[in-house]
Amino acid sequence: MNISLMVSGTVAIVTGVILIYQFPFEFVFITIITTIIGIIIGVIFGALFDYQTLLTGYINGLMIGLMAPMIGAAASLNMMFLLFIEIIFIFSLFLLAFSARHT
Amino acid sequence: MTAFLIGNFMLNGTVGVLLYLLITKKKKIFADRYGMVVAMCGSGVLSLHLAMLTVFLIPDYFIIQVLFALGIGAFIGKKFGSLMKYQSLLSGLFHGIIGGIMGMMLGIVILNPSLCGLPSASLNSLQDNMLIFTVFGTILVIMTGSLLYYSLKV
Repeated sequence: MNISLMVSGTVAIVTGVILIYQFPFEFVFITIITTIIGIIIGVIFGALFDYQTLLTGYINGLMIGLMAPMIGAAASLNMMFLLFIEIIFIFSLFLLAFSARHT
Repeated sequence: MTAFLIGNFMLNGTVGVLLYLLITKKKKIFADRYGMVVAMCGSGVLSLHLAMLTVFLIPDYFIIQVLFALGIGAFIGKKFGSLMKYQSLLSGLFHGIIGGIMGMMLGIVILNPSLCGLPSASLNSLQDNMLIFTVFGTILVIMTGSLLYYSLKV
């Protein structure tokens, strides 16, 4: 449950910010694509255990995927923000591997 | 457009009531964790979509939007959360209110994209955007409802 929550959230937020930086005129389709990517990542990582973790990853990827292009648009092409988000993403993947090895 | 939005509001409310009745019928099989997951999923998506439709329907009065959207979110969260025990009520209430706030934010940004630094939309594309987001939200609500209904059988 914790793995699906964390991975779907961080992947959805990174995807939304990068896509809205690249295509700032297509807000609607970027939101839909980011939501679908968040849902797919949450379902893939949640399906590792059982159906309830699948639902948890699904709902978290959906919500953060809907919100991520908005914060990317509000940051208005600031590269420090993108770097910060990428560092958080890589750090969370590192923590994921660390916690998977030590349980 | 207003008739379409009101019809969509009633459609989604019907889906929510139907889901609630279907889950209530089988609440003997609930475990503790399952009640929490049902409260998270149902109240989150439903209150998000209904709050977005509220912003589209009443675009001018901010305080009425806040009261209505948060009231709907808290009500849905309370209903879905108190199915099993009163522990999952906390999870349901929290996700209902979060969904209401996020739906309001989404609706306000769609109505006025220059709020986020996006290029502002003309009147035609504004109606197109509202239509696309309403249909997409309906698809999400129906998908979540069918996933939750399927989870009763697994």
